[in-house]
Amino acid sequence: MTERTDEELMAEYVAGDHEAFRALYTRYAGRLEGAIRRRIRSEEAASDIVQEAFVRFHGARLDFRDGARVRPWLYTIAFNLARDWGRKHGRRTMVEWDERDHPTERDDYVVRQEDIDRMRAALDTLDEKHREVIDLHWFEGLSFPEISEVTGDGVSALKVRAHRTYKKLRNVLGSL
Amino acid sequence: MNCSQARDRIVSSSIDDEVRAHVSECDACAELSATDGQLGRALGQYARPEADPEAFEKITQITSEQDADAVWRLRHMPTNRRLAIALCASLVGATVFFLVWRRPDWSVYPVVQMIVVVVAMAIATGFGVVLSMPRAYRPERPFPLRLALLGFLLAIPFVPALLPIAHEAHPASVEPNLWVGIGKCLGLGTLAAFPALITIRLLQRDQKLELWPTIFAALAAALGANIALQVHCPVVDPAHIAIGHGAMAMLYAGLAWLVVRATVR
Repeated sequence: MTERTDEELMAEYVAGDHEAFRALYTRYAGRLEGAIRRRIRSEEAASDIVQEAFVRFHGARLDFRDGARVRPWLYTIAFNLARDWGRKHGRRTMVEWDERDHPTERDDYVVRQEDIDRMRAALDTLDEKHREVIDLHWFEGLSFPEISEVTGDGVSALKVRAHRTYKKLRNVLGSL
Repeated sequence: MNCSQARDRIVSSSIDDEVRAHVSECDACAELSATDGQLGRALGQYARPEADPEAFEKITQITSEQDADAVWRLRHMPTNRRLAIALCASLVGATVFFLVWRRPDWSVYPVVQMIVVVVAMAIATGFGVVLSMPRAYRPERPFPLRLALLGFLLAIPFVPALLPIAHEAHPASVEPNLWVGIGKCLGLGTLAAFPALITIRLLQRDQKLELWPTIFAALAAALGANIALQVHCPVVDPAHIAIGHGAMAMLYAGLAWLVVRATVR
């Protein structure tokens, strides 16, 4: 059986099907939490933000129209909340979160911890706008038009930004 | 093939014709592919947590309670409907003043000038209403843009004071005391603005007062009240129009700022 698309689930959810809401939550809660953790480095806050994001998503569901896409909606809600959190708590005072305590499921890749640390340090050198593109493009697999919906920037500008950011990361990690 | 699928194949070194075709069209994936997957492997180490079923139960509990609350349902009507109601509420004062309390010099007031002022103010009111109800699923407007919109909405009510004096032909248009007249207009403006402000507030999704939406709500109400004053007040003195009508938007925006600051603390 073909998996229902996000938009099909959303249509059912707007029509009152709570299980469709659960399906969307199951599909996206972990992804959103990962994305938020990378932004704010606080597990607890990330979890709260994801919860609040789904509450707001529920509140806004009647605004969803044919042709809209669910993924940009969810990421925009969550990222707006994360931005608010960042403003209130300050990016540099955030609780440190140790990635090593949370081993990835993608254990088919053999990468030294030192390389991961360097990657994290390299990501930390990026400003919010550049980091956001990498977050959404690389980690979350959003297309550029979808990223454009989340950030409000034009697709061409985003492609250029992504290109430059990947290049910068590659330079930083040149000796990986 | 999309970028996500292409990247997974690049980092696992399973690059085939399909991936190559994608890479030839996508600059970002081409950059990644050129690094022989090393960058991708490092990026791939970032963890992705699982969805927490308990958290979903909590969300369900919260949303069920919210769905049962009448005010919450009002706030969460479709946005187009909320905007339409808020705009109507902002223009109710002007409509009432026009129908029952129209300016006595109406017959000698230049029609074009009246249309220009009312239309400009109505458009600004519409902007204020839209800005007072930000949508959670839209990206936040950049700060400079918000500031520019704020400046625009604060400036619009002063436009009538800068236009040529409409006429000098009606006795009602001459006020004996500038400050008394200004006081009256600020009072009447508040009468027209207050119901609009309450309505907009009831339709805003955030229960907590947020700075920018609150300021724009106050501005929308004040701009609507400016239309009411335009169709009601016969005084044509630019000083009266600037202080008694135009400054109301500034006053309301300032009060909104103070209220939000006091609430946040």
